[in-house]
Formats: sequence, C-alpha cells, structure tokens
Amino acid sequence: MSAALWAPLVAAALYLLALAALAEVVERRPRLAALASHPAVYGLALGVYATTWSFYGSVGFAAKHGYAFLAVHCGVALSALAIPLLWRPLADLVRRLRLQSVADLLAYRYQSQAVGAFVAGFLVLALLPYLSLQLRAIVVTGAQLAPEAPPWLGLVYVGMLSLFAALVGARWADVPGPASPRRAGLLVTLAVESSIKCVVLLVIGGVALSQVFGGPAGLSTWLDDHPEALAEMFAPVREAPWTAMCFAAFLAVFLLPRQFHVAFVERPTARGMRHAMWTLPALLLALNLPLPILFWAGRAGAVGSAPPDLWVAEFAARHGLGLVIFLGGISAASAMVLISSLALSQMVVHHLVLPAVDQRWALPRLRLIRRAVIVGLVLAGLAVHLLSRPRTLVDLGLVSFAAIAQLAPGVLAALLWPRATRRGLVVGLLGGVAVWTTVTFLPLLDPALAEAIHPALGEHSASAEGFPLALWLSLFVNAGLFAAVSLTAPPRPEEIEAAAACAQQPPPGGRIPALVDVDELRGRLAEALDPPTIDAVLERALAELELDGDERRPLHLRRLAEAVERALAEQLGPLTASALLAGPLAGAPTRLAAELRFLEERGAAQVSSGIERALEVVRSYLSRVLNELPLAVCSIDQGGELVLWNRALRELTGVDTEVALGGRLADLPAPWDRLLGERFAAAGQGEARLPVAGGPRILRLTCTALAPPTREAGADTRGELGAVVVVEDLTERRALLAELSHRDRLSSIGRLAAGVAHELLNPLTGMVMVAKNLLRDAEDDGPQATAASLELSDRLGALLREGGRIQGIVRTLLDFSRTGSASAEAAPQVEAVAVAELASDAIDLARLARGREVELRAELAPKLLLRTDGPRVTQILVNLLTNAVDASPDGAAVVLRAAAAQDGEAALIEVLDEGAGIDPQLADRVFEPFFTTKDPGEGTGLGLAISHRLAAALGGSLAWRRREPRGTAFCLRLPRAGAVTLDPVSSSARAPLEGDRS
Amino acid sequence: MAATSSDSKARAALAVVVGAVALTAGRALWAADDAPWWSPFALWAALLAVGVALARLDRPAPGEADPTDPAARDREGPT
Repeated sequence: MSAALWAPLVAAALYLLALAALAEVVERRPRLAALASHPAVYGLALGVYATTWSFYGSVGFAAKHGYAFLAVHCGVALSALAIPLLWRPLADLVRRLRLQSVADLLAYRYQSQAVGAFVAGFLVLALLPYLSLQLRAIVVTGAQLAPEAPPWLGLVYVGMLSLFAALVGARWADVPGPASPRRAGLLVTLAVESSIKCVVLLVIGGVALSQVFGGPAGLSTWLDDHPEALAEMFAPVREAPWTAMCFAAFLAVFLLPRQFHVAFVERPTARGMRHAMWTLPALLLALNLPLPILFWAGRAGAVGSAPPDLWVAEFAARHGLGLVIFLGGISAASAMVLISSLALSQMVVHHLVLPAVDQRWALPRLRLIRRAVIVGLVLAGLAVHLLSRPRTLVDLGLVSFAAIAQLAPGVLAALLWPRATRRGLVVGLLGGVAVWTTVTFLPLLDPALAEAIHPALGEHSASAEGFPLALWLSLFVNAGLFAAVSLTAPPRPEEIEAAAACAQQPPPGGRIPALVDVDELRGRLAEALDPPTIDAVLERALAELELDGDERRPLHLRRLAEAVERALAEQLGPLTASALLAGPLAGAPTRLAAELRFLEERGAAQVSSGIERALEVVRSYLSRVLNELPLAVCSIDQGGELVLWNRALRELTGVDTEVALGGRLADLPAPWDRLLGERFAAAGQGEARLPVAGGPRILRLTCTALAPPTREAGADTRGELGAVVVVEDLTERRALLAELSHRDRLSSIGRLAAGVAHELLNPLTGMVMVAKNLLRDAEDDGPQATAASLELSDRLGALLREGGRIQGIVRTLLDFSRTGSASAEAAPQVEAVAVAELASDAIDLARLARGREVELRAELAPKLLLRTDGPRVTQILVNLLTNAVDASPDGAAVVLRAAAAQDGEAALIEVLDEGAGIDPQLADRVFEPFFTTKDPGEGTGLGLAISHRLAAALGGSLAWRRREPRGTAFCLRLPRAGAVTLDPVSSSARAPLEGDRS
Repeated sequence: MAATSSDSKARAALAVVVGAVALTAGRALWAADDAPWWSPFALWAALLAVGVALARLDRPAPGEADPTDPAARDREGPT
C-alpha cells in the first residue's frame, strides 16, 4: 500500500494518542489541572455538541434547507440564555445528589429503578444512530481521502475509536467525583478538541474565501452575480422545520447524555456557567460562519461532483488540506464518541447491569464492565451504520434529537412540578417513545414502513421533512399522558420526599435509619461492598466531614451516611446507593434535627421568592432570640438528639454548642448527661444541687414536651416533636431569699429582745440601787468597820460593777434589737485605754464566769493603748474568753494575746483556744445572732453576734481563723491610741481570717 | 451588586422570550430577497451580546466567593 493510503490511519492514531497523552499530562500537573475550572474550558467543552453533523453535515443540510442548518445552533444560543433558568438549577441538583446521568436524575426523582432502566435502554437505542453518524463520517471521509483503501480500513478506524473510548473514557468513569483530579483531563481534552475543529473549519473557510472568491469583496461580487445562490440559502428557511429544530436543539444541548455529562456531571463552576451564556454561542458562531462560504464555494464548482455532505472534505482535499480536515473530523467524532459512550455506559451500568446481577460479584469488576459496555456501544453504533440505509448525516442526528426531547417533560417536572408521579412519567414516556418509534425510528430502518406510515412523506419520514411531526406529536402525547396520569393519583411518599429534595427542601438523609456508630455503617455497607471499597469510601467521607472513626453523635453519623450515600451514588447510581444505606427501615420520617440543620445550612444561600425571604428573616430572627436568651435552653428531637443548645446553656455548662448539637443527652459530659437525661425522661419540673467550686449551685430544670401545632387538644403528644428543657440557675435567687428570710427573723428576734431587755432593765436598776445603798451603809461604818463589813463592801462593789455591766449589756441588746446597730443610740465613749487593763479585767471576769480547770493567761505588748470604749471592749473580750474556755478541754490554756498590727494603725487582740475548732459547714453562721453550738441553757447565741457588732461600732473588726493543729483564734482589731515598740504580729504568718464581715 | 437568583431567572426568561421572538421574526425577514448574506449571523451576534450582558449582570459582588470554584475553595480552606 502507498503512504497516502496509510497517512490518514497513522495521523488518526497519532492524534488519538496525543489526546490521551494530553489528558495524562493535565492530570499529573496541578497547574494544568486548574485550567479545568476556567470558564473558557467549560464553554469550549460544551462545544462537544458540534459533532461531525456540524463539521461535515451542515453543508449538506444547507444544500437542501439553506440557512435552516443554523437552527440546530440558534436553538443552542437560546438555550444558553436560559442557563440561570434551567441549567443552573439542574447543575445544583446534580451536584447535591451526586447524579451521574439523566437516567440517574429521573430514577431518583421518580424513585423507580424501572424508570432508570427504561431511560437507559431507550437512550442507548435512540443514540445509536447518532453514534453511527460519527462512525459513518469517519469511514466515508477516510475513504474519500484514500479511495484505494480496502473497505475494512473503515473498521480499523472504528476499532481505534472504540479502543480510545474504552481506555481513555472509562478511566474517568472509574474515578467520579469533584475531588478527583482526573476529571480535569476530560474537560481540557474536550476543550482542545472543540478548539481544533473550530480552527480547522475557520482555516478551510478562510482558504475558500481567498482561493475561490478572492476575499470578502469577491464573495460579495460573486453573490451579486449569482443571486440564485443567495436565494438558495434564504428561500428554504420558509419551508424548513425551523421552529421544531430550534426547540429540539434548545433541549438537546443539555439533555443529550454527553451534554448532560459535560454541563452538569462535571461540576461546573458558577463562573463557568455564567460565561457559558456567551462562550458557547460564540464558539458555535465561529464554527458556522465558514459553512455558507464553503457551500457557495461548492456551488462555484470548487468541489466537482461530490455529494454536499462531503463538500468540506472534498474542498480541503483539493487544496492540500485533506489530512487537516480529516483530523478535524476525527476530533469532532472522537470527542462525541468518547463522552457519549462514557455517559451511556454510566447509565447502562447503574440501571441495567448492577440491578440485574449480584453486586458482590459486579462491584469488584466495575472497571471491566464499564470498558466492555463502552466497546459494546461503539460496536453497536457500527452495526447500525452497517445495517441501516445510507442517509444524510443530518437525518441520523434529527432522529436522535426527537428521541432526546422525550426526556424533557420528566426532567422539567423534576425541577418545577412536585405533583408529577412515576406512573405519569412511565405512561408519558411509553406514549412518546411509541410515537417516536413509529414516526421516525422504524422508517429510518425500513423505507417500506415509512411509505405505509406516512404516504405523503414516504421515505422522508425520518428526515428533516418529517421531523416536526415526529417531534411535536411525540412530545404532545408524552407530555399530555404524563400530566393526565400524574393528576389521577397522588405521588408515593418516597416520590414526595424525592421531589422535596429536588426542590431544595429538607434533605433525603431522613430515609437513613439512625446509626449507633461508624461500625454499624460499615456493617451495613458490608452487605454489598468488599472491605477495601468500604474503607476507601468511609475514609473519604470522614475526611470530607472532618470526623473521627469513633464518632457516635447521631446527627454527625447521619451526615456521614449521607456523604457515603452520595459517594456511592456516583459508582452505583442513586437508587442502589440509597437502598444500601437505608436498609429495611427506609421510609422513616425525616428527623427534626436534620431538617433544622438543612435550614441552617441553607440560610446563607440565596433565596428566590419574597415569601421565602420573609420566612428566612423570621426564622433567623427567632433563632437569634433563642440563642441570645439569658435563660439556658436546650431542645431534644423525637429521637433524643440535641437540636438546640443556646448560649446561656453553653456558658452554664461549659459544653460547646458544636459539641452538643446533634449528639444525644447521654453523650454530654457529667453531670449534665445525668441532670438533663433524668429531667427529659421524667418531664415536668425539678431541682438539682450541683456541687461546684465556690459553693453548690441550685438549678431548676423544666422539661416541656413539644406538640405539633395541628394536634387536637388533649391528645397525647409527648415525644412527637421532642421536648424543650429550660435550666434556671437559682443560686443567687435562693441566696437573696435566704438573706431576706434571715433579716426578717432577726427583726422578729430584735423586737422580742427589746421587750425582754426592757422588762429586765427595771428590776436590775432596783437591784443595783439596793446594792449601792448597802455599800454606802457598809462604808458608813468608818473606822468601826469590821473585817466582815469590809469584805461585804468589796463584794458589794463587785456586785455593782457586774450589775453595771449587765445594764450595759441589756442596753446594748436594746440598741441591737431596735436598730440592728450597736452604735445607733448608745454612742461609744472613746478614750485612751490600756490593753493590759482591759485584758486583766476580762480575764478576771472570765474566771469568775467559768469555774473550769482552764488556764487563762495574757501575752501583751507593753504600753499598748487603744482609742476605744473600754467597757465595750471588755464585754467583747469576756465574750471571747468565756467562749474559748467553754470550747477548751480541761487542762488546756486560753491565751489572750495583744500586739500592734503590721500597719501600725491598729492593735490586734487575739483570743486563742485549744478546742475542737469550728465545723466548716457552720463557718458562715458564727456571728449569726442566737446561733450556738452549746447545749440548751448553756448559751444564748448572742455573745459573738454582739461582739461582732460592737467591734464594728468601735471602728474595728472581729474575725476568726482556724489554728493548726487544733483550736480557734478570734482576732479583734481596734484603733490604736499610741505607738509601741513591740514587734508587730505578723499576719502573713497566720492562717487567713474568716468571718470578717465588717 | 450581586444579582439575586430570582432577578437572574427573570432576566433569563425575558431574554429567552425575546430571543425566540427574534428568531421567528428573523425567519420572516430572510424571506426578503434583498437580505444580506450575513443577516442570520448578525441576529446570532445579537443573541451573543445579550448573553454577554446577562453574564455581566449575573456576576457576584466583589469579594463574594464562588463555592463551586475548586480554586476558590483551595484559597479559602474548607467550608
């Protein structure tokens, strides 16, 4: 064979190898892979719409229908303007549900594996002519380039294409998902192929313009000279199926499996979609601009007698560009075959293979199965090419366009009509497909059948002439049956849920039963997946959600299950993945926690309607109010999961909102797990004391069941929406109440004491007067006084001193009871008093008061003077000493120690005992009036209270501290009257004082 | 200022309706014998210009991140 014979074959092989290498390089280099997210790449990749139909067939179509050939691209330009209206919602839906094809979308929305299988089978059948169109174009143009080539060389081209699709395309099917860098190679490859075919056509068009017409001016002159050539382009438009073709192209550009895959499954960026509104029409404009010039060049005789479908190839071959145009055609065909077989293989595997075979067998062999399906599809296209009658390229394409339009009612209803049902879709599809098969598909295969079905059109039934009938009639039957049957019966619950998910309402995760831990999820997956696959899927989902393998919070486990479901949906299809995750408990209502989480997450998203915006404002406002409420609030849904955990509760418990939400009460740290859990179980109201540093906290917990607003009054609603628990911290309130109660009690006691003191004072005054009279009588004896009378005088003197002290105490008690302040009425008589004198008197009196074997001694700094009221200080010291004696065991020592304070401004007088000390629980009550630990009748409980108040009235303070190893020290601090030279008592060496409230 | 979803959809719907009317009207226009050969492409260019205008009106506010852009996600970290 000659080199000219092999050149196209070698060039095609090298071209396909170069494409595979390009994909590999792009995927290996992150900077090149980043190109895939560039808007221009998305727009160019969408140019896979333009196949050999556009590349070769448009000129042939123009020869019959003039400018009507533009309709299949004008419809695309119109569809691109509808990107915000139709494409973007579909892209969001596909991204959220991780769908891989239009069959996945319909199977998911209508919750029917049968729908998925039917759509997959129908699309394979409908697109085989389209696939065969690509193969035919390659075979024919290859043969044109090398007329002496043997017929089997066409099969070699087909084999190369199928091999390319199987080896290069299938690996993208093996690694679906937005995180995979391998997707970048696919988009960049498609963009490069679009660029090549566009550049090739522009070059050929430019050559035609310059070589045939001598430039634009020459073209104008030629058209002026040949008005029939211009009329040949314009006139047929009036008769051509312009509107039907525009409409079919409008739908096909996003519903054709390859277009659906590039437009939605490849996770376009918002920027890419936005720019596609003009980049895609611009690309197609550039592709179409040379076509009329090439057509007129053919009319001008530049291509001899070749059929119009081959004018482009013939013209290029005559001008030495045969190999270039052939590679352009290979580019258009290989891109279409690659992406179509990839998209169709996903449908076939998800909806025809996996549901029909044992998944444990099939899943490890998915890669092999996909490759086999891809090769099978390409070979089936070849079979159609070999078996069907020779047709124009456009005729084959239009048959597929009419078929694709049958998907439009189901897809648009998935976006816009929640009432649509599976039954309606199936009946509508069956009706539409029946019409399509009868009117256009069968005539494509058998001309005799075409004559019988449509005598007026005859064999043109399956061409552009018959296209409007095929499109409008099939769509009318399809949509009519779909709507009518859908309205006859309500949708099933799972369809309602799927419709809600499609309409961005609460998520489908509610179908997944609650999980206890990750291992349970692993066990559920093990029913169909092998361990390495399970590990890979779980690891990816855990990493995506930033969770650990020991996660136990229900909400987070459900999110994990949803992530696993989405990941598996890419590999297995949405229904198979959903069935695997949902298990036998599918159909459970969506959890409140999941619904609220959905709303929270959606809150930041754009809202589309005024009502939605208003509801979002209200929801956000109420959520803010609940969160900022100064009352600690949490709510638990019907499954025991925490739904709300506001800021006050977070501050009270120290448990972070992110940790608490979505978990169970039992997962909370102690003691909140027990406190809240018990209250949730028991409902109603209860109190709890919480031992914390700084004293116990008193909490009141109130649990109220939440009922749906539509429940009838009196019905048992507990648990239907869960419950709300309010936690109130009563510690401060209780302390305030206790203080008020205490003051009230003191007030009552004060009034009683005032009465008693008043009654005591009168007889006491009488007794003192009698004693004074007796003393005066005894002293009147003068020198005759006997020893007995002298002793009597001493004792009467002591009696009078004690009587006077009693009067002072009673008056102080009166003051205390009347005003609560010892200094209110009886102002202290302040003078300089020696501490030694006061200490001596106090010790003497204490000895008199207590006749126990307890040593009383003083350790006093010399010349220590106080500026104070002496009798009152004596009263304080006597109280302290008698208490110390009472607290001390026999043989112990009570020490009265006095020294200057460290600051030099005051004196510290301490009374130290060796008693058992003060119980810590009673520490707060030491200076409380009428509080005593002595036996009944042994003490009134007023001594320390009075002393405390007296000290305060004297400008000092009284406090106490524990002594080590035992005993108590009461410390009286009073203002000094002069300096001393003693070493001061170091307060830092002592234990801290307690009870100093002054 | 970023366009809301409803504004964007309304503009797109209007553009599609106007485009469909223009294509139908163009078909009638081309029936005239004296229409220049490039007139269908002029109509197409008009549709293209509408697409450019829609894309510009639909662009996000300055500083607003595109959550669907992997490069933006990489710049801003996980969301």
